[in-house]
Amino acid sequence: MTRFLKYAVLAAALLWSPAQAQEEVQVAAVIVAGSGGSIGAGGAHAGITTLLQDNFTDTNGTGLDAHTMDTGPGWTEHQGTWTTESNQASYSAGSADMASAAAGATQGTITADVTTDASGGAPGIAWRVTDNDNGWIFIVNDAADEIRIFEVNAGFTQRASAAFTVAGNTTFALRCVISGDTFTCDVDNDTASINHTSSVFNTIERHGLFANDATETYDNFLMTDAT
Amino acid sequence: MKRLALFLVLFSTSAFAETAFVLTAWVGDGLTIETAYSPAVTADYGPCTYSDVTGQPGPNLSPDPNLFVVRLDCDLAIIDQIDVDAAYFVVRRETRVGVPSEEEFERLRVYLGANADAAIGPNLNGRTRTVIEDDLREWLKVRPKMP
Repeated sequence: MTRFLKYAVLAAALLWSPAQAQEEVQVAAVIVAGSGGSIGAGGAHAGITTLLQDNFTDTNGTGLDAHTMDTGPGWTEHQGTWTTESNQASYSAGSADMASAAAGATQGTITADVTTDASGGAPGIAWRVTDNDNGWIFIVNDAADEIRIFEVNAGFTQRASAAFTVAGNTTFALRCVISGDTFTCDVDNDTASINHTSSVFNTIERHGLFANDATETYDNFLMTDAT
Repeated sequence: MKRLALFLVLFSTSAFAETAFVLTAWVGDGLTIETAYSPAVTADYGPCTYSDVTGQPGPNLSPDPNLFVVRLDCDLAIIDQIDVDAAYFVVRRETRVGVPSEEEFERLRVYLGANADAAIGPNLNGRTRTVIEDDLREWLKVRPKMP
C-alpha cells in the first residue's frame, strides 16, 4: 500500500471512528509521526549497558589519547589532532579523520552532540572503525545541507543521504542504531533519518568520532548495547 | 478541530512522496567526502532521501557497467521526472509493481546494452519487477572490481 493510502486510511479512521477506536488511532498516529525510542546522552536505561561514554571533562589541551573516558578503555586518534577544550572534544588539524575506542561489541546505539565550525563542515560519528581509512561514518554536511552515511573503504562511498539544513556554529544531536548489518541514523531526535544495510566491517568493535574541518567540537558521546 | 489538524499535518508532510528503485551510474572519485562515489541521480534530482541497496563494498564498485540500484524517496513529481530521463531506469516504484510488460522489459534490456543477457536474461519469463530488481542487484554485486 502506498504511504498516501496508509495515511488516507489513518485519516479516515480519525475522522469517523467511535471514541475508543479513535483514541487507539491517535496513539498509532503519534507512533507514525514520532521519534522512536531513544537513549539520551544522560545515561542508559535499566537493562541497557553503557559500552562507551565520554563527556570530555578534562584540562584544556589534553590529547584525546591521553584523556580518561567516563566509560571505556580510552581513545585512539587514528589521524588528526584531537584535544579536550572547554570540556568538549575538539578537532583542530587535518581533514577526514577519525578517533575511536574499543567497545567490546559490534553493535549498539551511538549518540553524540556535534558542533559545526563557523563555515559549517562535516562532523559526525563513526562505527566499526579499524583505522582512518576503514569504517562507517554518519555526518551532517554543511556544503550539501544533508545528512549522509559513508562507507570509508579504499576511499569514500556515499551510501545514504537525506536533506537537512546544516548551519555553522550549530550543535546537532546525532544518533545511529547499529543492529546487525542495518544502520539507522538520525539527527535532532528524528528530524531527518537515513538507513543502510551492509555487512562490510561487521566484526569490528571500535566506534567513535569523525571530523572533516578544524574547530569542529563533540560532546556527550555515548554508546549503549541497545539495538 | 484537533482531528482536522492532525489530518492536515499527515497529508501535508507525506501525501505525495513516493518510493522508487532506480538504476543509476555512480559519480565522483572517492578521494574526499566532498567527491565521494555517489549516485548520479541524486546529483541531478532532489531533494530525495536515498539508500544504496546494491551493497557492493566500496572497493568493488564496478566500472563496467558503472551502475548500481538505489532506493529513492522523493516527491511524486521528481520520481515522474526521473522515470522519463533516459540516463536512469526506474526498475519499480510504489505505484508500479507486479509483472512489467514485454515492452518495458525490452526498454530495460536496451538500457543495459551489452550486459542485458548476463544481468537479466533474454526473456521476461513472468518475473515481477521486484524479482528483476533482485536479479540486477545480485549480478551487479559480482562485477569486476574497480581498477
